[in-house]
Amino acid sequence: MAEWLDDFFFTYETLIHGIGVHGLLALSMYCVMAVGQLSLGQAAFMGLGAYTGALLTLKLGLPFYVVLPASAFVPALIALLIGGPTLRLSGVYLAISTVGLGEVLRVIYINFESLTGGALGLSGIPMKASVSLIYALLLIALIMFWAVGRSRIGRAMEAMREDEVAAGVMGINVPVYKLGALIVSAMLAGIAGCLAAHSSSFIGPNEYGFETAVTILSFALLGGIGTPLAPVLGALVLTALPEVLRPLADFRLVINGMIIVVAILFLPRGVLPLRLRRSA
Amino acid sequence: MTTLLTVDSLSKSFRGVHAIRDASFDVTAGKVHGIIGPNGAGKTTLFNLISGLLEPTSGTVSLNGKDISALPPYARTQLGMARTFQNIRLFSEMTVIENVLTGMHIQLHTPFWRTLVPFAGAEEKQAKAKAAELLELVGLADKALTRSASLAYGEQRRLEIARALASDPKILLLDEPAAGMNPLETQDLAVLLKKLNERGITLLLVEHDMRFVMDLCDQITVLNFGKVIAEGEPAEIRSNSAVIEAYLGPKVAERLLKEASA
Repeated sequence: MAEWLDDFFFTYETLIHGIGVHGLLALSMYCVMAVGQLSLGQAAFMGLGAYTGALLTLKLGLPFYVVLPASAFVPALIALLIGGPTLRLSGVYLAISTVGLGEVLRVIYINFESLTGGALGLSGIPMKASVSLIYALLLIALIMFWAVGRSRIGRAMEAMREDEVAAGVMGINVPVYKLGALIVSAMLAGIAGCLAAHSSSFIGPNEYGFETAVTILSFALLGGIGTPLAPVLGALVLTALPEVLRPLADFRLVINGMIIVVAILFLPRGVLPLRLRRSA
Repeated sequence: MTTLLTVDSLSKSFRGVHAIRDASFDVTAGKVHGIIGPNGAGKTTLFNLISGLLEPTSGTVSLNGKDISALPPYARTQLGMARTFQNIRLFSEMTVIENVLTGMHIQLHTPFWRTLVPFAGAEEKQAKAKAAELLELVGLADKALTRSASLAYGEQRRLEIARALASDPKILLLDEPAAGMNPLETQDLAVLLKKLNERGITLLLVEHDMRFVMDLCDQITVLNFGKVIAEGEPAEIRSNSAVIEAYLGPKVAERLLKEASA
């Protein structure tokens, strides 16, 4: 029994890590979308967390319990800086401007060779992110989102998502809520990035570009954003799917893409279209 | 007779269109003040300027003597202003009572960390009790847990009023509250608004239904092409030649006035 479990674990360790990390990224996306914003900057925040974490571990040899909070702090700081000017934008315009952030960072990673290892990236990162740590953090994040979602804060967020103008008239400080959501989402993405870096031993500058940003967005699109669990479920499906479809060999990406398209067409509110219940 | 809201030489142009031109009037505390005018007179624009959804090109809006022209809508709500919308803007996925609770946002202060502890605090309980009272007042008590999008039209209008009242406003702005209502619903609405006024809430309303306005308002401001063309009590407005002309054209106005004096 235990041997069978060990085998399974050994074979799918990367996948299990991946699902947990993607779950955190999905929650980071959820946090932004929960206030009605669309960001494609989550990959950039993830990259910031990954590089911050990897550099602190490799160059300074700091313990992981210092590295992890630091890799949440740096993206949060950047979110605070870019939040002011970008959050005046809405809809696709915010999405486009946040894509820009990812591209700027990518160029910095490539050209700041002495620190970031340039195009070769950073390797030999110690595997400090255990499965239990990743899933414990995911669980804590989920519970926190759930609790906050049920409170007056969650109500205000849902109001903004439904009708920003009316939410403002209700006395909700819309800009502050938007900025807060962006900062929290950046922290989560940073933590996910740091965990990913410390579970794959290598990071490179091209891992956090546009493609990753869209993948993170698709977690929330597929799962839905009615409850915090929905995007995590989306991440689970989209991360596990390529493995499940492995027998299809070269066709699996086609099927993968088709499943996403079909899901979005026929399940516009996600595979888990429920709404967060508040006892009233 | 204290002035609660002052609109002073307010103007708003959208490129070449002068939607509001140099409008000035005062709203007295405790009164029901109506704004009327033909279609396109600028009534909704004026409302949006007062509630902060639009920025004036020039002029000021003051609440309780404090210039609020530059404040965003949420800050005006914190100072005691609430409004409803002509085209109903409820949070349609939320339940009826959640809409009212959202309107109570500025009064709730449970800190972030406290929300992480299960079992909501006393504040949320009190808020729910107050929300239930407001629903009782507008006659929606039995619909508290209904999804608000599934309410009938008249009910949605009343829910908007309950949601606006939830912030405990000093002044409530109502943008065509009777629009689309049948005569019976309009009557009920008039009763409700009178009740609110008796509770000390100043009302400022835009409305097309003349009987409703004349019956309810203490003071009326008439807009035409963005300008204030008349102001006074309902009786004065009814016999004001400029007002009749704005609504019915100069020929009819002349005839009516002749008939009246004959």
